[in-house]
Amino acid sequence: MISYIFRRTLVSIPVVLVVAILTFSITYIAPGNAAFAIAGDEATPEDIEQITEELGLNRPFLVQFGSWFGGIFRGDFGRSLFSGHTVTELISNRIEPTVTLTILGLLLSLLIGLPMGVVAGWKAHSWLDRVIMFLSVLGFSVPAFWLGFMLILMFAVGLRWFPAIGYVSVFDSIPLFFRSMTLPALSVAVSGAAIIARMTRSSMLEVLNEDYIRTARAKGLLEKAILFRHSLKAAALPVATIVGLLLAGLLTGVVVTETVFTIPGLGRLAADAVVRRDIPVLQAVVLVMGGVIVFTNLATDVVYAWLDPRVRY
Amino acid sequence: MTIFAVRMRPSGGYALKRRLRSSARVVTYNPNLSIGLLILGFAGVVAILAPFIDRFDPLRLAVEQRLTAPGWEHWFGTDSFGRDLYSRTVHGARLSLLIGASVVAAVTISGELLGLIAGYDRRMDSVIMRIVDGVMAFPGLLLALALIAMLGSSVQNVIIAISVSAAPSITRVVRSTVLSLRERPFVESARAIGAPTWRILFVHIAPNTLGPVTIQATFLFAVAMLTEAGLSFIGAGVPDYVPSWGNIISVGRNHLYTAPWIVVIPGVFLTLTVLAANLTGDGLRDMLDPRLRGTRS
Repeated sequence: MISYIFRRTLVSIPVVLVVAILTFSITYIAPGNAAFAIAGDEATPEDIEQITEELGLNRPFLVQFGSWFGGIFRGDFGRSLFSGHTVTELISNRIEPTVTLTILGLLLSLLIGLPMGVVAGWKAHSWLDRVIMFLSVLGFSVPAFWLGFMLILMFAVGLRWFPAIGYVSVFDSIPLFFRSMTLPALSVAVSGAAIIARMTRSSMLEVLNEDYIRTARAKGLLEKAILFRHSLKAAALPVATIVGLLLAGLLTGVVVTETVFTIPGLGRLAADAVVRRDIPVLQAVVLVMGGVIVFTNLATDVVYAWLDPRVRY
Repeated sequence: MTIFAVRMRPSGGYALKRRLRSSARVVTYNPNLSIGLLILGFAGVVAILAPFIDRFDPLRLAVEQRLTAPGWEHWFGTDSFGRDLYSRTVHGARLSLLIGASVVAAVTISGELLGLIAGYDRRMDSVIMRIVDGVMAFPGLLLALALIAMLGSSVQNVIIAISVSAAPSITRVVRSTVLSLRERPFVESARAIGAPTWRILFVHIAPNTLGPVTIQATFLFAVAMLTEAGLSFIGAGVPDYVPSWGNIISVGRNHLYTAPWIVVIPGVFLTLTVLAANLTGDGLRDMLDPRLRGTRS
């Protein structure tokens, strides 16, 4: 097991490097010099000169990358070009809403997706299965941000069950946190739930054909026990492998949905950074999210290997 | 001549009837594909005819008519600048499909090439797949967002940005197909008679990857349209005057309570078009590879 973790971690290192290089290279794809893109259309040559100097853009690529990447290990992402705050400060101020929303979204998508997939796989090719599968296609066709607005119109404006916008930290008030986060979490969870439902269904179909399920049925076990005790465990395993992929999808939803519900998170920070051409902030958000996903992939693979020893070799 | 005509008629009628019956069978046998293609076809017609079926210039400002509810004059109402939303929505179809199609074209061609190389050449494989893994590690929309920040916002740059962030999907599909194909006897025999590598790759292997690629490309089409809308919505997509469904919704955000139609209507069109692409993808998968029914990679 330890050797597996070691090998798997080694595989992640080049990916982390690629992620860092890609993030850093963003500065270089601008036509001409990155300083032109940052300064905007009305910049004077002096402005550009100053930005070039400030960011050290006149140094060789590898030197720049080295000092940037080295800084990250010391928790130094540079300074925001717009507000002058350190990027680390900005990110630590904004990370909490994004993390809580993502976790809530992930839990909610499992809560919705797993039972739907189990039922669809159990009643495969029935009308119920068809309805669930159609809902699932619809689920990853609806844009999360638009769904957010529809939920606001329905549950905040119409029924007045939840507040339309705003964010309450989980550390301030737990009930208010759930009240303010239910609609955002639901709108980001739908696409994840749709994918989970599909994956669960197809692995249920496979598992239900196994010999041990036939044995369970033959000895007269309750269908409920067969479904939730015997099949779900095996069927949920493949779902566990895609948590990293799921997280990437969820974060895409979160980045956009934060704007809908005016949640002061990383997505909003990134979108504002684009408008202000605040490259260090943007790079940091991109890198943090990429890093989280690489780490999640690593963690899920390790957990999977622990659950299913066949994978270790 | 008459005898010939008399002879032809029943058989012609029969052929027609048989053809009708077989297409009816496709509709009932593969409803996903037929419904998907029907909606996509409709969206395509709207997109092509947009300049002819719009009622106003989609960019025309008419401040005195701002936030008009849907009615006879403005079928889908107007936004806060008094722009006619029916015309903007119709032109939005054009943009969405254009971006979807361009991304699919760019990603399919580059992904096919990269996937063929990665699947066939061991050394290039590890290089290409590490980059692919790296790109996959970013939430697609966020990577596109960062690229647009540097490239500047324009339709062309949005296409480039989404293509880069979506490139891994096709590359991975092609690579894994190539890996299984290269062990097959027909490839082995091509190699045995001394066919050069490029010939094996492009004449023998590439055509066999097109099935899975087509399926993946359909889903990619859906993802590209969704990403464009998301980017434009948060203000980092196509320039804000361009009639795009994401842009329309973005304007409507501030008028959700007084003028909900601005947000609701383009979203319905977006969802339907994306749904149609996904249904088509499902239908194609059922048709081309029935074993995979109900799964999704």
